[in-house]
Amino acid sequence: MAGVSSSAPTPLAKYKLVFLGDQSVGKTSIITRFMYDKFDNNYQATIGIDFLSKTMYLEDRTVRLQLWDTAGQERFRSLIPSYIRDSSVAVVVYDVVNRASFINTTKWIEEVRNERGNDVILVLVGNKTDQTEKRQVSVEEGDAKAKEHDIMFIETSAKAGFNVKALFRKIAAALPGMENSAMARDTDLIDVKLNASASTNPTASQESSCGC
Amino acid sequence: MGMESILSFGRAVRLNEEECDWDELDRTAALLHARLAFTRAVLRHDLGVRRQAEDSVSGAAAGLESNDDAARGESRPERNDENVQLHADVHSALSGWWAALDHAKPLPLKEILLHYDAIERDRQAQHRTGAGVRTPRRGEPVLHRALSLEPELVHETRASHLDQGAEPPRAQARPGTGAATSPLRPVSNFSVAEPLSVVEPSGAAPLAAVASVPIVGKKQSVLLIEDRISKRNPGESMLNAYEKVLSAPTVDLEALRKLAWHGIPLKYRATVWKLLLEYVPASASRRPDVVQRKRREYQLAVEQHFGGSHAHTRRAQGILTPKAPAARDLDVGGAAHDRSINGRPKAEPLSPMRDISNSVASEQPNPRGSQAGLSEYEQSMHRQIGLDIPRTCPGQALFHIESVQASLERVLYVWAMRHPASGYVQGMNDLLTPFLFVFFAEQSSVLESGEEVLCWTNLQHLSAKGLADAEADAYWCLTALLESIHDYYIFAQPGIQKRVLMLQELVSRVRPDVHAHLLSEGLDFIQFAFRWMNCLLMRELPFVLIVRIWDTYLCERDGFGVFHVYVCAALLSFFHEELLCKDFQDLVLFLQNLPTKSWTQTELDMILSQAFMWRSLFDSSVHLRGD
Repeated sequence: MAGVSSSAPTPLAKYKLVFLGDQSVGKTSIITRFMYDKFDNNYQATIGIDFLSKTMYLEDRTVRLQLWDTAGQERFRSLIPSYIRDSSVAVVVYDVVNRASFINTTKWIEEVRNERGNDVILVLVGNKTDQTEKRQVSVEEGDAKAKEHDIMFIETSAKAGFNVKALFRKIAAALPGMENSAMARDTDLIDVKLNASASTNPTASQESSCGC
Repeated sequence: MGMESILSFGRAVRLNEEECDWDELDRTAALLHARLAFTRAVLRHDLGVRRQAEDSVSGAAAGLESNDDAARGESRPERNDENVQLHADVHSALSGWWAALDHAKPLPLKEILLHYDAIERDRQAQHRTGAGVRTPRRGEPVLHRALSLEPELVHETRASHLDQGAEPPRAQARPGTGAATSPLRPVSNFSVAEPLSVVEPSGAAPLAAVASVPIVGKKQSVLLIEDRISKRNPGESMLNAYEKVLSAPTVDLEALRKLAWHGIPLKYRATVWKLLLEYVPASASRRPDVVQRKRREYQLAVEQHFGGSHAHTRRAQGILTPKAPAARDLDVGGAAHDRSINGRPKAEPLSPMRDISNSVASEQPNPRGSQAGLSEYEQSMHRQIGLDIPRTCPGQALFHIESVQASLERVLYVWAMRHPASGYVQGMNDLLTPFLFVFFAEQSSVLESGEEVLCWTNLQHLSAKGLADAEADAYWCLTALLESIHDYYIFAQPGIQKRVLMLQELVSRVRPDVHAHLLSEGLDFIQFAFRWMNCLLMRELPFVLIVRIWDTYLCERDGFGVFHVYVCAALLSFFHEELLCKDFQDLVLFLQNLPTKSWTQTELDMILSQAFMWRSLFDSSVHLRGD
């Protein structure tokens, strides 16, 4: 992997995030909103895997997030496991106006658990909350599923820009808790300073749909 | 040490010629030979060691040949206990040689042989064209390199062919090809150039044109180059040439490919594409019937799946409603055989000759609701296609026109229904757009440039029949295209995996610096090249250039498969300076968003010429042929 830039005064901690979920639930839209704060109704379908990178400046440190945006269509699934294996964060997205996509998140969560066990930050994301009238999955259902799997949960609207920053802040806040994880052991990555105050159980400590 | 081993191996084989197990020896010889070749591959970047290896190999080859001669002239020694000893020699020789190779990464035999084939060709190409070809000067325009190369290739090749007199080209080294050929043939053949095979364009138009001249002298070469360049700017004579070829009672497809390789004039593009994809027959007398039948066949398929001949105008909530397969179920004689037990249609290549008119019993009103009665597969395909239609070519106004989106949907859905082994795969929507674009433009009474057509905001100037015909033509042409790369879209997409590997191998040879850099940064070719294959660079190049590049693909043998890989390699090579200075992150970002937006014909010509040159050089290697 690319080495950490040697010219930087303090080395950047790098984290890999993989975005999973059905076709057209808004994975690319969430990432684009986060990266460039913009939205387009007509992003072309992602083919294979797309890569983006963003540096996040947090209160006490700076981290670089490497985002792997996967294609949702079934046919491309064979490419994905290797990205799950490499990632310290898996973001599983569904579309709140599409129940099938919500049901399919179970498959994704299980696949991530199978690959990574508990050595991963898992986030369930219900996207497209702006389409209130067409909603098929309630916030309670999403929350319940997240609790059931002991993972984080948040609802977003990439279109309206709702909660997207919150999603990434939530992820970032959980990152230092990854002590002794494969990620921390990874020689490519700079040792992350552990924040004792970080919760080891992010689901319990943070409200769903948090608006921070 | 290596040479000794080979010599003792050769001697042992020769002395046992009549009693040994030929198949076994054949395999052994092939293995040994492959090992030699592989050593060369491993060492090829280290000049000193490489020389040594080459000396050793050619020395060995010479030694074996002289040994061969000696064996023929002399009486054979008695075979008794000696046999045992000689067999032991073979084994010790081999194990010694193999031990020396222990530092090399072990590879499966097949892979070693692939390496061997590639290197063999490489060496022959170097021999024939001089070292300059493999290490072109930096900054030298690619196009000129390619052009100046060809006549030289032809000249030397022809000459060497004539020199050989009546002797036919020798067989390529292959393991286990039977006892008819000497097992040592591969080794002794190592230094024998194989004429013609390297430059044989096998249907590639530009070289074929040059190669038809028996012996090309320097002066003539220049003329031929000029001839080829002139074809890039079609003038009056070019248009006449198209008229002549296309108006023949039977179109000479070879001649057409020679013309079309350089880009097809707007006026003829639709006609030529249909001919080269063999959707339309070359014979002018058969053409009207065949086209009519196929358009009708597609029309029937649409009615079968969407119900009623008014499907063209029916469009509810931005999406068409496919019909439940009621009509097919009712028909016992026609379509029943199309459906397997579980209710899904069987995978079947849609034969152009197949007449499905029987399979639609009658036009029945669809009594069921929109999704009711559709199989799970049908619903899934319908949903997936529906999701992608609005986001197909978002930058082009043409594809936001409602009736164009309806056409996209019908074509993709019918195709998916008839090809359940792959079904609709994202990216196919991209591949359909050039066909719709070209065939809609054909139906327009005014000849408009590609840019103008892309800006259309309605199709009111086209007749209903014109629209239906264009859509049917697009369906059949897409079918032909996807047929040529069918393994790209089936489960696990093995075709794409294979082509990405081929690209990687090719780049390691034509741009070892880029290859090494990408690997050292931890970048997998699959990370960027997957999409290059899945969408045939449609996301990487401007739309009008894609249409132009397809002109050439249609003229190349397996253009969308193999030639495309050469184009991808040329693309990487084009950007080598940018690539070499980037780290992992910037590499991925750069390769996902190649700076080609402002590209014109000029850049594309460089890419195509480079791709063509590399294909001419490497294509005959089994390894990069991609079969």
